[in-house]
Amino acid sequence: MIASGHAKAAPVLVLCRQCVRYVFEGARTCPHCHGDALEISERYRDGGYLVIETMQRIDRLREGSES
Amino acid sequence: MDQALDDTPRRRLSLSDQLDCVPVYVVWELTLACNLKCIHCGSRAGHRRARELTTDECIDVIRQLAELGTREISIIGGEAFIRRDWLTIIRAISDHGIDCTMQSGAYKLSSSMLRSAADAGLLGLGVSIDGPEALHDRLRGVRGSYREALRVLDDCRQIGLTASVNTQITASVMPDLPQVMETIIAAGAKYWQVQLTVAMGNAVDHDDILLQPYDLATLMPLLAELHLKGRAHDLVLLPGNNIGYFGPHEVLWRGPDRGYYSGCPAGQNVIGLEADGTVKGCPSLATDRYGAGDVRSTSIAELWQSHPALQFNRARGTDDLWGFCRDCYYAEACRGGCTWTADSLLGRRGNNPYCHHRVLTLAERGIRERIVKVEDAPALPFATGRFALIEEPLPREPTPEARCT
Repeated sequence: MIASGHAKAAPVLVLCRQCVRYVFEGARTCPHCHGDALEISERYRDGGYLVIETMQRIDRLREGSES
Repeated sequence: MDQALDDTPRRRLSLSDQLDCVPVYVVWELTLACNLKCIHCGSRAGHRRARELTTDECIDVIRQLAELGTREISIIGGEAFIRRDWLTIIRAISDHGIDCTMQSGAYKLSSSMLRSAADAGLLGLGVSIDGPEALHDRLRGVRGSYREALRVLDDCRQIGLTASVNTQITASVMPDLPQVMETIIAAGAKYWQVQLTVAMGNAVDHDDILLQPYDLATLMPLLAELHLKGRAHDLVLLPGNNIGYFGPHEVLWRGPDRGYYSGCPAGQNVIGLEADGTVKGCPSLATDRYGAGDVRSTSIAELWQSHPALQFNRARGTDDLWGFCRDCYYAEACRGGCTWTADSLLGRRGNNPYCHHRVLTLAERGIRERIVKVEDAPALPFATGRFALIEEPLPREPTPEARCT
């Protein structure tokens, strides 16, 4: 493959662990529900989002080490 | 689990795809000739272009794209199968290790033609269904086109070709979407991609079919309901690039396992090709503002690496944003959503009123937005008109007492 160009990466968004809407990674207070975006709620855990989030973190670390 | 099973296509972008600007997904108008007369057609398809690429030129385009790392080419039109060499082109795409899919109105696409396409390497077919029969035929401009579309979906099932359905969301179809979904499930399609009809070409001439931005307050909860219902019937509702952004239902269709919306990929990971070889960052963008030259005079690699008309999304800056989008919480991630939608409507990218988050935010302030056409679009492919964006007070819900009287 030939080189195509170079771009900036998109900022990382994560789900608010309370209302399950997207917030920027590192946000403490959710701009939507105003709750603690890092505190794991039942909805977040039981909805399967916590498992997916963990797997995604691993993928990002792996991609970062490969690039 | 709330999350759907994985259905990752090869076009899913990795971080390195984004950083290295790999043109992973190419949408290629093989011809502008078409056997339908859709009143929402942005490219005003019908007759072939004056200087469409020859077969040899098409094969060279495929070679160039393979070298650039393209993983999927979706052939469109007009109607792609009107070209006599369409099977040769599909085979060449497949032989270069690139997935080939096709989007079609499916009118007069016979069972034997479909079988030949599958044999040549076609991996999937997207068929347009824009409403129940009467509405579909009116929008597509040809009586019988709805029944043909359903017949082709059935042919796909018999052949074993993956079928998806594309639906243009117009103001007319919105109340009928549940019925459309039932038809799609019954037809055995696996994917349903929905997209808002954009103010371009014929749709500017028929602007009554366009949704008003405030309609998203009704549409998005409906799509969420249909998404969940579809999952129960093995139908995946996929949002087009102009369905968004970051509203309360976003996690359903762009959940964490699918990748959140990270801005318009035009010119960063998507190439659009017109039948005469014009290269754009997205097939639907206005040619006069986003055409980057053509493959006859310059290699795709050279255009891709250096032409400004393909570069505008790569630095991920927010300088192009204006209006509501400029100060939006999601500005750096979303960057105004679909370039095509915003640019076609308002003549400039970076301010997109078709956004659920925006509609809800404005509603909290007691405001809504509507569009009004102020200038028609010229009679050219991918021509845009001009619309004004009007802010107005949100109509008050009638009180229970008022409803009784």
